Amino acid sequence: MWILIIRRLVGFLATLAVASILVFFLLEILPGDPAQLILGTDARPDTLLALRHEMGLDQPILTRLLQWIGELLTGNLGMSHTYHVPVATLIGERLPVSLPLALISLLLAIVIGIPGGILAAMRRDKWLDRAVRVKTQILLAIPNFWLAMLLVFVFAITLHWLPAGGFSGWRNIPNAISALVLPAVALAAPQAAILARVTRAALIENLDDVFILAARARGLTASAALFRHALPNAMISVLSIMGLQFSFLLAGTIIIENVFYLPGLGRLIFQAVNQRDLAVVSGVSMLLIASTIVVTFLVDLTALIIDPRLRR
Amino acid sequence: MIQSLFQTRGLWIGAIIIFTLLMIALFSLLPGMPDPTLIRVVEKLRSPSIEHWLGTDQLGRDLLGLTMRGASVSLLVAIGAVTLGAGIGVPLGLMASAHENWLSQAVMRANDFIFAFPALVIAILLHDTVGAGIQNAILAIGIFNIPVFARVVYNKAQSIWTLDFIQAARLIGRRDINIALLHVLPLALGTIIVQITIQLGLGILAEAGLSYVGLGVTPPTPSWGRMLNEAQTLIGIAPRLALVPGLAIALAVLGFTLLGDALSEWVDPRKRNSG
Repeated sequence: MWILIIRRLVGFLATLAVASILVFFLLEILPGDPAQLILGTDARPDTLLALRHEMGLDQPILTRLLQWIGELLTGNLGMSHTYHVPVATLIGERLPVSLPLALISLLLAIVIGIPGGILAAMRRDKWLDRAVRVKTQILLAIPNFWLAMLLVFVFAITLHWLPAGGFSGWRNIPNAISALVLPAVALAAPQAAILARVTRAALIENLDDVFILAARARGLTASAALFRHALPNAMISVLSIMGLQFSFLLAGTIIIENVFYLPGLGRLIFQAVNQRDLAVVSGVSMLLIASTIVVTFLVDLTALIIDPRLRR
Repeated sequence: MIQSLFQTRGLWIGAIIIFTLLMIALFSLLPGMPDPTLIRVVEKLRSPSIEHWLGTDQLGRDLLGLTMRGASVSLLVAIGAVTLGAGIGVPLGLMASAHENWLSQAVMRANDFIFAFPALVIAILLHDTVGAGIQNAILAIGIFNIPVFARVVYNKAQSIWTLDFIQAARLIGRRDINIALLHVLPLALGTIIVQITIQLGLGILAEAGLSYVGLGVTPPTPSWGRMLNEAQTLIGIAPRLALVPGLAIALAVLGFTLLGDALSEWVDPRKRNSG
């Protein structure tokens, strides 16, 4: 068990290291001269030199790579050249918007998706099951930012129940929550659909297994067999799918923030892309990639702990 | 009985949607068609009429024409990304499945690694090198498709390599590459076709997202994602500008997923009742 955990840990650290090197090379080496890109082709040579020095571009590549990795390890992600503040500070300001948004929508998706999948599996091939399957298929085809726009049209512009966008901070908690309701619902919709489908498929696969037949033969009711024996087993595959979906949730979060003008990581990174603020782009990208890798690792580890079959 | 009828209905609905989509895309590219990108500000935000069936947008462009041309752009990106992903992913998966050695381990590890980069983050990282545009969208979505195809082919091919007639082919001295192309690939083809259908749908969805945030197709090329972006501030005045492209995306994606689901049951009958 411990050997397996240590092996996964080494793999996890190696993945993080390779990812950070890849991000560095993609952003810092390929685009030519970032200072030139920022200033334009008609920049004066001395301004160019000064900016290159400020950005550390006059250092050799290897020094800059080591510097970038050092920065990552210390959590100091360099300076933003448009805001003239450390990237870490910028991320720290934006995280209280993006992180709660992602967590609320994940929670919503679980609360709606998993019971939906269980109900569909219990009423297999009846009208409820078919309704769940058709609905989830439609939800999966709808881009969540379009769903967000429709929600704004109905609940903000027409009914005036909830704000159409903006976020004024967590000091006024009811306001903050009401600003996050519509984005969270839009984000949760496709996630809930995926969870419902995976839960249903995994439950049905387990319900067809002989151990359920054995449980029924011992006198358990159909629903007792489902909840005590099939569900815990099915949750293992649901968990691994949730891990795989996490990167989509993050990507969705940064797109949805643009619909609602929420000052989160998404707005930060897209503004930085347009202003060619490389320190911010690389810092936020690295954060998004690293959190995906961390979640995958944690899901892997959890599966290893709760599923004895993986430890053989 | 009702069950099988239900399944075939999915196949037919999916096939009809995709066929219509292809026809619309081809039709919009015919030389005689009016240019949908033509700006006529005097005719801005017109309601639907005989001249403009779906009305015009904030720059006086015909909404129907833009949406139709958008179909060809969406399909182009999705097909390009699937070609890239399958073109690299399928050979990688086949190669990795032939022998369990360090190479196959390395290929599959690299795969899991790319999977940690969502298409959106790839598009952001490539933005400065490639620049916004159709090529950035195709590259970003295509790179994300590589591990998807490699993983699917690897899983399918692994069970094929253990079949008796493959073992026999190995024993008579056939080279692995010949076995892979002659025997393994044809048996995995059904699975690959299903995945292509699914990824085409996801590609359309991803392209819309990228163009919406300005990382994909650039003006003046019409794109459903960017049309939604432009419609956002006008949603109170002209909701049809947001409704039409959004419905187009949802229908196109639904068409591909219905087709993919039906095909996957046809390829693997065990999947019936579990989808």
